[in-house]
Amino acid sequence: MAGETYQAAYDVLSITRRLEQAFDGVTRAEIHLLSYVACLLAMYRRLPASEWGYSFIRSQWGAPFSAEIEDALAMLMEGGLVRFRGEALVMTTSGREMLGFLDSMVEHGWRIQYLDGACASALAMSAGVLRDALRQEPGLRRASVHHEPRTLLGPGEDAALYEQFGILSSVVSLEVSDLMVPSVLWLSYLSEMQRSEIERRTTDMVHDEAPDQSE
Amino acid sequence: MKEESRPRLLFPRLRRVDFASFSLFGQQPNIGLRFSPGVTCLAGANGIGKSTFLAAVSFALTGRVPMPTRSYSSADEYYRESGNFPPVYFEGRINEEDRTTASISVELEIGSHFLKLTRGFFDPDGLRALSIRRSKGNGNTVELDGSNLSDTERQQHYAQWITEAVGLKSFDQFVFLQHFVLTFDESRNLLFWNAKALEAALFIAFGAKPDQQASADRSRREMERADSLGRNFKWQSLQVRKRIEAIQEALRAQTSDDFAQLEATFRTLEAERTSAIEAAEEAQSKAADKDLALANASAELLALRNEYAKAFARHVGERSVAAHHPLVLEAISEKHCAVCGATGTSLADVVQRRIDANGCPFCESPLGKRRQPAADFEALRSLDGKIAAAHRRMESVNTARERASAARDQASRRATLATGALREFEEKNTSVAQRVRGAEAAAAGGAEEELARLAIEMKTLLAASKENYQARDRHKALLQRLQQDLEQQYKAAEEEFVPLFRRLAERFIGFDLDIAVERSSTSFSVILELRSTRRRVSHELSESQRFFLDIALRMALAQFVSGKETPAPLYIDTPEGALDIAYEARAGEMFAQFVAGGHDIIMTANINTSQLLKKLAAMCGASRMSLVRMTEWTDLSDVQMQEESLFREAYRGIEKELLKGGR
Repeated sequence: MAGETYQAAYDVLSITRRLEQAFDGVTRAEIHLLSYVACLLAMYRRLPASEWGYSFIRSQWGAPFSAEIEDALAMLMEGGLVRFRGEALVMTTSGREMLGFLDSMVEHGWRIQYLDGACASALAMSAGVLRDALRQEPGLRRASVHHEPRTLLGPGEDAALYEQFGILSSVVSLEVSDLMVPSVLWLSYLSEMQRSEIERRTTDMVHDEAPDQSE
Repeated sequence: MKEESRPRLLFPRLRRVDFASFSLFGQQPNIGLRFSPGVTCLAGANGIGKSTFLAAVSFALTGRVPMPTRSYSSADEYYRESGNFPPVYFEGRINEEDRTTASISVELEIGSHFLKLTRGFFDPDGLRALSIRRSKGNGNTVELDGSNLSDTERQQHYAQWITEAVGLKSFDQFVFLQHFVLTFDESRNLLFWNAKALEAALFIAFGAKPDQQASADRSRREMERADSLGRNFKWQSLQVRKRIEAIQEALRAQTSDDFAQLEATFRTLEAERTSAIEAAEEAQSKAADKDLALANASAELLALRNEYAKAFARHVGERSVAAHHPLVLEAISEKHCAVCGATGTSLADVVQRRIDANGCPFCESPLGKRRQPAADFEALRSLDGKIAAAHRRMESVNTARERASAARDQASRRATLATGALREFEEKNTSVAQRVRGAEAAAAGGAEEELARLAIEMKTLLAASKENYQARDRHKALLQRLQQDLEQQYKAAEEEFVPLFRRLAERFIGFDLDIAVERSSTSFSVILELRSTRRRVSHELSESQRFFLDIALRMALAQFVSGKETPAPLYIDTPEGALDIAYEARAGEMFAQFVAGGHDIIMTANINTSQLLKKLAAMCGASRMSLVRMTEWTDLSDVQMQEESLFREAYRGIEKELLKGGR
């Protein structure tokens, strides 16, 4: 088992468990997306990204992606702890049993607040809105100018993110017990940015296509 | 000075150059070139290797490449010190695979002799081939066939032969003349403004004997050396005297109240510095221990996490294959049999019961060793406890480390402040610090013996200083005698030399100009007079004026020493600089005038709309000037290739002038 794939495995189990209670399971893309949001929430509480346990890249489709999450998914499926029902990932009995045990471990327990915050945001905003909002997250936004996949949250690449978090923490205390509050607030802000950008592009396109009437 | 009493030098005339495997000329690495009397101009684009061509010819003749940063102290020193430069110069110009084969061959005509030599670019002190022939009647006789000699022997033989043939005293004089007088290269090392090199050139040109220059070089070197030693011994004696005075002062001041107070301050500051440095060293050591402890704790945590990862994977991986077979999972969670399509809670119960009994739910065959999830959970739980404990230890060590680091920084600041305070005190109270140390020496006993020893040392140093100053004065007197002789010899030759220079220089600059002698206590030189104003300082002339007046001086010297019947060659690298078209045309006229006297110019030039080349071509004509198209020797840059037609047009313009010129 490479690196801390076990943390990725724990996150997969946690996210699947939380979302299958509200929906009929969780898609593979949502697992990557929500584990990334959880990592960002840990950074909001000043935890360095390097201590999250695994890393992310911006995939060529513009979304966060973690190789460790993929490894963990394969391992958990092979071990019969999760399975796919159609497109959706669901827990098995063994998976629920395993997660119940892991929740009590100190090594994993500290992550619960971040995973709770991320999953609660998905419930509050819908995964689609959340995915679109994240396109404005500084790391993903900066990586979007490149065609090739780029590492996210690497050393020295988090200044703009911390600038946004600084503003956020002046509104919502860092010590707030439920991270859903700053999470939804921040993601709503990003969502508004995304909406404005789409509007601007649409306006530009209309202007570009309109016949020149200057003469 | 009578015509026959001054030295006549017979310069070698370049007849042919052949390169072998010279990578820089990518299109023609084995290019060969024949030289006719008069002007040979190699014209080409930027970066094509024009300067390298002249440097390579200079290297073939002397085994040395003119150093861009050269300074002149003496001819033998220059020759010795420039020995390492050729391999450095040619390193980037010759590809690695051509290193052993790359060479240059030249054919020289000198009087009735023809000399041919070949030199490898990375062996400045050897010759690969050497032969000397002498023309006699209608045929030639071989005077030397160097094929039986070693490379070094061939070089030695060549050096001796060419020195005698030219009429010089030593080979290093030949190298000096070639590099400092006959070659005007890209480093623009100007003779008029290089006093020592100019004096050496004047000694060779006007001295009664060829060895006058070497004697002057030697005397100057010895004079400067003795002067330096004399000053050095004098300075050392001064330091000894200061030490004597400090001890004497310390002995006198031991009873002074002020001194006692300052001494107390000095000792307090010194004690504080010692203590602060010791504390800083200790804090540094403690911080290093904590760094190590943190590294250990971190390694322990990492090892435990690796173990946890393994246990985690084992726990997930060792689950029964049958228990998580998709059909079994579907039957239990969906209460649906994918084999027969039956549904219902009892189906799930049956499958679960058979799995729990460690049997296959379909055929009830035993599934082997039953896994022990509880035991695996226990292993994970135990490791989790250890990880939590290790994490706490690491945090604790980290806190201690941060404290130790802060203590180290504080101790370091204290040591810096204490050292600064002591230094400041010592700077303000130099004599007190010296006296304290002198008093320490005195207190340690032997102050009188120390004073006696220092007195002897000072006397010895003063005597050595005096002796060297006397030697300096002797060499100075000798040098001055040589310079006086030179001045006499120069003045006797002024009638012939000065008009040579003026004709050339005035042709270029277009107004009255003169050259005058300047003597100081240790130098003899000539300086320019422009419209009765002495312009010795280089910034009083424009850069282009300086270049061409310097070339005029070199031409005049070469003409003067070679006499009327023997040709003198000048090697000039891209001289046009930033002249306007009027001065370019005049520079061309000056060059043509030099060549009209039977002398040779081997020059390079940028191929452009230069009036210098056009005027030179028009005045010399094809009979006394050849144009070599260097752009065909190597690959041009993209920009140059795009505009190649401009080069062809410029070549044609000059060639047209050549064809109709010289009439």
